[in-house]
Amino acid sequence: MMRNEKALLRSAEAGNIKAIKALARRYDKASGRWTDEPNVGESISLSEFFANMEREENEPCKEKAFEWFMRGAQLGDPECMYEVAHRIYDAIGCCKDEEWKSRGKKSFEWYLKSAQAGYVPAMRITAYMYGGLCVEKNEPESFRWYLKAAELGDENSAREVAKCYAKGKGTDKNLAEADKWLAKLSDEDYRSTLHDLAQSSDDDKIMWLDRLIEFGDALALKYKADVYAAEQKFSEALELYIKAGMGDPEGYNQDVLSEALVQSGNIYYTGETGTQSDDLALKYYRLAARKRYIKGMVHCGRLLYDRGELDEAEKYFDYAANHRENFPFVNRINGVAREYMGHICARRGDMAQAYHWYALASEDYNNQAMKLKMADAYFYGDGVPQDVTKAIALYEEAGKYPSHEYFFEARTKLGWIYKLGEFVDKDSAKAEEHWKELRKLDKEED
Amino acid sequence: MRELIEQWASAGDPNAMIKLAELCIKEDRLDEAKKLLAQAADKNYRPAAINLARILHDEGNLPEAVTFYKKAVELGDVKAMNVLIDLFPNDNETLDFVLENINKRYDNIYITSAGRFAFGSMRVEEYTPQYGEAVERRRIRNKILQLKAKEA
Repeated sequence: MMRNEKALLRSAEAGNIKAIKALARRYDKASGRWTDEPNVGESISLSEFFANMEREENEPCKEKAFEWFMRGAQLGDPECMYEVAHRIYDAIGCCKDEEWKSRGKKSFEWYLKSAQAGYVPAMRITAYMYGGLCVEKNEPESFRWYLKAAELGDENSAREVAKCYAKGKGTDKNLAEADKWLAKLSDEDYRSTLHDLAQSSDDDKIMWLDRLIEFGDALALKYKADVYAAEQKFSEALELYIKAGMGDPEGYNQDVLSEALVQSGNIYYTGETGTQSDDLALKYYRLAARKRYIKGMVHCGRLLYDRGELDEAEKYFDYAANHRENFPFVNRINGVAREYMGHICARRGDMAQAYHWYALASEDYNNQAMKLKMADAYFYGDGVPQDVTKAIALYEEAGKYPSHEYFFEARTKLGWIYKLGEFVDKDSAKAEEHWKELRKLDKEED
Repeated sequence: MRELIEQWASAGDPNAMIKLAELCIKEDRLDEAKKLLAQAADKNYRPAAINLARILHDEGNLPEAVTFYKKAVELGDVKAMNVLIDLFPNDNETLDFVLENINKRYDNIYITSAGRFAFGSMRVEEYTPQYGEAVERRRIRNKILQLKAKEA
């Protein structure tokens, strides 16, 4: 141990708060812990989450950090109280075997103490937890703490205060007061608070969306159109969808704006306003596809395929079928695009390539038709080498849940496989089990 | 392959009946194919109903074809719905029949962007077969409503 470290330890042991905090932070840093970890009620992006998933952490250092923060908390330091509360809540260096709810209750006590001692970040979390996280919901108390933190300059709490006044949560509804607090926010916070309000309120939804539109927010046009579409007011919805989709503002979620174009196309394709127009539908689907929006591409491809324009359809399906996203576990396979790549090859007479695509399409959890098609292909050796084991696995996937589109067909086949027992051990009871479920569904429908 | 198909079809497997019917069609044995498809359709096997309806339609046997188009509609076949309303755009009974079968399903194609990153739920940018079918059903529904309005 270096001389200055010894001195720091001696000072901390003697109860010097500054030294205690410095020592605790040293251990915290040495623990390899994710120091920017989100606190209670905070969220993070998926990329941050993945970037911090595989850290090598040092447990004894985390425990030491907790011990020193606890020493500071017991000596009455509000920042240490806050750190202790956070560590108890997330079981960092302590309470490993304790249930989350019980940890939550304990951590709340420390957050409250820290808030009462005047520490602003703790006030915000106390307010958040009074919303019903691990403690009994108490909206007036939640509002009181948000207001206190906001009055001390905490911008996040100011957002919450505005929302409480706007919705009458924990206090009387007061739009003038809400406006007063909204006016204090930065442009970015103002916008996101209005989005929160629009999303969470039913009665005032349009009012908040109109405010956002007035502010020049492109997403609000799309969300307002969604409201109209849900109310079956398609002319109004169409006008807003087009306006949202045709703008090209930077800094907005482009997928949402592309979705507005797809919805414009849908309204023309389905004829919601009384006019069915494939040409206009294709125009908007194409605009969405140009933004590399997968759904737009598949819509374009399907319309062109139905018209027999296979070469152009193929361009869209090919891109969509091979599209991959950055995060593996949210990566879905676009089975419809793969299925249509197969149909295109089949129409051109290239059955080997068609089955290549059908097999890929059958990997899509959602594509029950392709699962059934490939199950039949493997069962009979039609287009692919016969492989009954693969066939059975695919029939089982296609008939897993009654909500599956081809549940009936898949279950019927599985029943026959067990009844005839040519490829598996004959099992009449199992066959009957498959069919019984189908009869049960028939009765429910009757 | 043929032996396997024949064996399973004669045992009563509707899936094998369709495969055998496909082979019969290739060999121009249409009557046999129709018989097999009718048997499979009778077991509520959707692909059999639509395939048989098409064969009968091509042969010019419209009344019989309609029976099987209707069966396919009852089993949820979107293509059969389209054919029926194209065949009988002024027949209220047929239009109501198709509409009733569309209304049996919950179709919401106008979804908001809320669930975009919700794990496990359908994301906005996803084009699933179910979504595609829902869009088609919505198109047919609107076509029927327009036809009925014109008639009125």
